[in-house]
Amino acid sequence: MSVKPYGVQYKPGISTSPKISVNDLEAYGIRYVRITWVDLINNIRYRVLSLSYFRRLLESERPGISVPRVVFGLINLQIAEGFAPIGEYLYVPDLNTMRICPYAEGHASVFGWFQEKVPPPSGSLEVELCPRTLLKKVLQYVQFHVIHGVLQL
Amino acid sequence: MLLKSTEPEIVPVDYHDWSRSNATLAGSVASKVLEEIADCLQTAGLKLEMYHAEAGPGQYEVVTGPMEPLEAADALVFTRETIYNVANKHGCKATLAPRVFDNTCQYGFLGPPMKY
Repeated sequence: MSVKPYGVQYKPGISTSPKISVNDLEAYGIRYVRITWVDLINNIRYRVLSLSYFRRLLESERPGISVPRVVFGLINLQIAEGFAPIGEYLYVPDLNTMRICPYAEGHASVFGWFQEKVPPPSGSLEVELCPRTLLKKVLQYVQFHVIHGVLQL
Repeated sequence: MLLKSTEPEIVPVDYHDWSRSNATLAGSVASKVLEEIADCLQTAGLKLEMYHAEAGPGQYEVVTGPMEPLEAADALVFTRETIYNVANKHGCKATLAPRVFDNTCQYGFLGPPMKY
């Protein structure tokens, strides 16, 4: 006896979650943009930019905000061993993640990528401790090994 | 988990039961918070499948459905932020801490061992 699949069927590769375009922020009444990240102890942190400054930032050659490198070594106001209060990363908004925050009228939220301000000798701007970069690299690793037949999903 | 106070002691918004209707009675703070969270997530473009009462005191569950991994991680953070903010608007504190109480169900603990 054949049994029909039950419930809503999902397939990989199809986004189920539309975001808003940066061009539509005014139309949604957005006045502020929260550039948001999560640190390694699961704190959600953000900086609130006025929409006019956010627009100026996007028009710049390398849009991003400066965040101290100690961001991944802070536990409350203590600094974990191996980190120092010196140096900065550039946190670059990923405009594909823009959402309005309906719980905070006039605010939108966007995530990003931590980047080196100046490329190290390797030439890569990627920051190994950036949580979204870490996940992206895991996905790239899995995809590579699936393509080459090492892993099966 | 929705709490109405954390000092001097931790007090949940209510004691209900798993998926039971007394957890979301019309006019209760929890029902208002849950519905506003559901509205906010959908307005922001997330697909909300369902919400329901979990077994612990003040414990609820919001289901947003499957996504690609990076998108899912972003959506989780956005959902957490929505939950904290909406709860705060209604005078509650929301927490996803795994173990708030020491003797009942919660995110990281299914309760004391059952006796058969």
